[in-house]
Amino acid sequence: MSLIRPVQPCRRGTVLIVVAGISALLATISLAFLLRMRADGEEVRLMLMLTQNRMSLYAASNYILEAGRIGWDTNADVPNQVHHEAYGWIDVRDGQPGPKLSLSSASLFPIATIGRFPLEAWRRPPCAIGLDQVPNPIVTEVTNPGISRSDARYGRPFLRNIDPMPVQSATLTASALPSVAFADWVMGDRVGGISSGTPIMRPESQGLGWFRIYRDGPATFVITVGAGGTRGFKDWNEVVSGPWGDQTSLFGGQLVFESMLSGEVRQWFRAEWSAAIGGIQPAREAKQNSHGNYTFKQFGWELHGGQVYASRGNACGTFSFFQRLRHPPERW
Amino acid sequence: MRRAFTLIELLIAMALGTVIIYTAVAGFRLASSSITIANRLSLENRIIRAGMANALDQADFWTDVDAPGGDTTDTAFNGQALRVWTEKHPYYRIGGRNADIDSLPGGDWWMYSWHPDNESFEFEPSRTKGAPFTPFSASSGAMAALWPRVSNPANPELERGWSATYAWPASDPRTWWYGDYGSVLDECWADMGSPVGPNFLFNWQETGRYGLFANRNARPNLGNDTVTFYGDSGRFGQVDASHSWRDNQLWSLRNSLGVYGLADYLPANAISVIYGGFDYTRASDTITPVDERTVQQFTGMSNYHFPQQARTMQGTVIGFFPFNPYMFISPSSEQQPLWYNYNNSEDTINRIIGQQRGQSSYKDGRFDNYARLYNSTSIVKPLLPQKPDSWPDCSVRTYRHLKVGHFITSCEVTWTSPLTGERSSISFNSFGTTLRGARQQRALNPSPGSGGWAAWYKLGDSRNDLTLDDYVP
Repeated sequence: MSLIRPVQPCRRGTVLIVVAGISALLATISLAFLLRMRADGEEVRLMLMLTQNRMSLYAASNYILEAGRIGWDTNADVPNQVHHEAYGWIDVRDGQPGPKLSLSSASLFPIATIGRFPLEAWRRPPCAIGLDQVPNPIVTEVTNPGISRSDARYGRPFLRNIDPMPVQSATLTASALPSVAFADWVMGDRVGGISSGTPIMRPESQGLGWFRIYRDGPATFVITVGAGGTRGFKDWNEVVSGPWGDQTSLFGGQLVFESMLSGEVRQWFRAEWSAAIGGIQPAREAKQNSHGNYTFKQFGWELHGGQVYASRGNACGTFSFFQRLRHPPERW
Repeated sequence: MRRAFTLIELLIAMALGTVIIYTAVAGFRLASSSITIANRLSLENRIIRAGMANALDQADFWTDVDAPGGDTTDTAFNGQALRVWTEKHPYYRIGGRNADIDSLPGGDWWMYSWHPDNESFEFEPSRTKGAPFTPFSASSGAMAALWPRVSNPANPELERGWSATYAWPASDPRTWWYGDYGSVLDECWADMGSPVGPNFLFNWQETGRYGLFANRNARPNLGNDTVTFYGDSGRFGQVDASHSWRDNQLWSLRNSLGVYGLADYLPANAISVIYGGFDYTRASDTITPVDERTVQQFTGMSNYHFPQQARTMQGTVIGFFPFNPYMFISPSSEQQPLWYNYNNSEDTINRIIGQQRGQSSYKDGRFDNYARLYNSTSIVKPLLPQKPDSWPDCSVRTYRHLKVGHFITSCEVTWTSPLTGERSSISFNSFGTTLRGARQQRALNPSPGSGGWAAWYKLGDSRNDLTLDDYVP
């Protein structure tokens, strides 16, 4: 005689229903949970894009400041050339639109010009320095276990290495001429070597953000910042036949571009550059003393109450105003 | 015979069943609880993110201090308390500290600026009631003739009024400062006629009478000045000053917008000193209009020498003081409202307005630390005024001030957990629209449905709305 009790078919169905119900309930809760997490992730992504845009705005502001007065190269691919100084977006010498290198030359960034700047990080940027903060440690038992105290290196601060340490190409040999090594350091990682080729960028930094500058007046600019992969192109028409020629190869096709565009967050600002420098104290005081003479003190000064501030130089100019635009302007 | 359960089998089966059911229920309850907690944390995170986005919006659009389209919940000022000073502002006609102002003619607080160093009031009856969001071209009521535009193509030095498209280029000589770089200077509201040494006299004029060259008055009257380094300066009489545009710009900016607005609109590190034309009147003191003597610097710091920070606002902390009902509300049991920082005295508003309009804040003893400055220069606004009780409380505030030559916009998002009562906050500095940009965002005469925002298409486009910085053609 069997000890197993026979189970009626209807009870099998009941168990199935109960198990299926509980499973469905758990699956529903899990799905809702996953959807909530997904939605959270999307919202975090939006916040990240807004933050990215703010960083791009910083970058655009720095570009405007620096381009007005410093940093112009006649050919960016030529190492070791002199950086040419300019005299502001409104040239301080003649009041005409700059920046220009000589009074008679044309503006390097004329009014109604658009500059487009995809933001990417170089794999090895120009003039990179290493993270090793102690390139010349003093040799002791700790750094070199077993070293004799009679060793000529022991306890002596020899400056054997350059401090800070430059980061150079892995292919650069120790026997390279100093001029070659220096050029390699200055030019950073480029496709095809130091004297030609485009910079090599970190893949993970690409397609995250860009800024774009339209100069609409002598000192006023429309700044557009975007978090996404369109590289600052306004639309597909501009990719095909914009000021930069046919750039369709950057995206592969219109669908890819439109897809990037639909997921992008863009913001528009307007700003005015000013020739006035900011954040610097030219001297502590020019004061008449009791003998009727003026005394001029040096940079770095003492604020009331004994606080000491280092002088903060800014040779590039400042901004008269910044204004977020509520809608995209017609020209940007 | 059909086999049945024995009693022991039944008991064991019931016990096992109970354990299984309990485990299932506990597991299910744990799962539900986890989902609930996750949802609650998710909600909290969403509100924090919304708060941060709101803070960035405030930094970009200044809606925390001025609602372009109005704010019906603000029954006193309609969200535009900084457009014009009116009798709706609390203590509008109270007078001033220690009844000092009450003894003076026309004791409305808007005529005065509190001066912390000299413990006295600056009384300027000719001032109009400019506030940070007052249109330059206001042409009626209390704002009449705030800053009229005067065109003079033949002599740009005599042009007056603000031009939103003029960039103050360094190449334009009318933007330059023509003054005595090292002159000892004291402000004209200091004790008159009490020379105690070269450091405590106004415009000592060691190197001459620079009021000849630049002056707020285009034709200053340079009379005898008996208090100079060399004694009586003698009388020049009425002269034509070569430069008066810059000094008038500074004067009018300060009177139109207050000292924060002055700092915002001026080029960086501009020398905030002008010569001439200060219509100072105080009780028994009446200054003879010796125009270059009445040098005025706007930073609220006196008795120092150029190029000290007093002349360029570098060493001064200037806060942007909001004004709306939120300043009277305690943001929490730990935090006091703006009102409290002034000891609840009747001179509260006098001080606020005085600092908003004319003086620095940090030198005031009541702003001896940043916490007080922050509490006084920000409005705590609930992110979600109407929300379920179970949702976290969240508030946002934005501080704006100038410190050591840098404009700083700080944002703070604070939230409280409804379950634990734990209070947390995130603070960060932002970078966005300046006061001038905010004024340019706002329409002078809002078109219907625009919400008070100015439409802008492109530079020079005739469809662009006029803004608070424009003049009616």
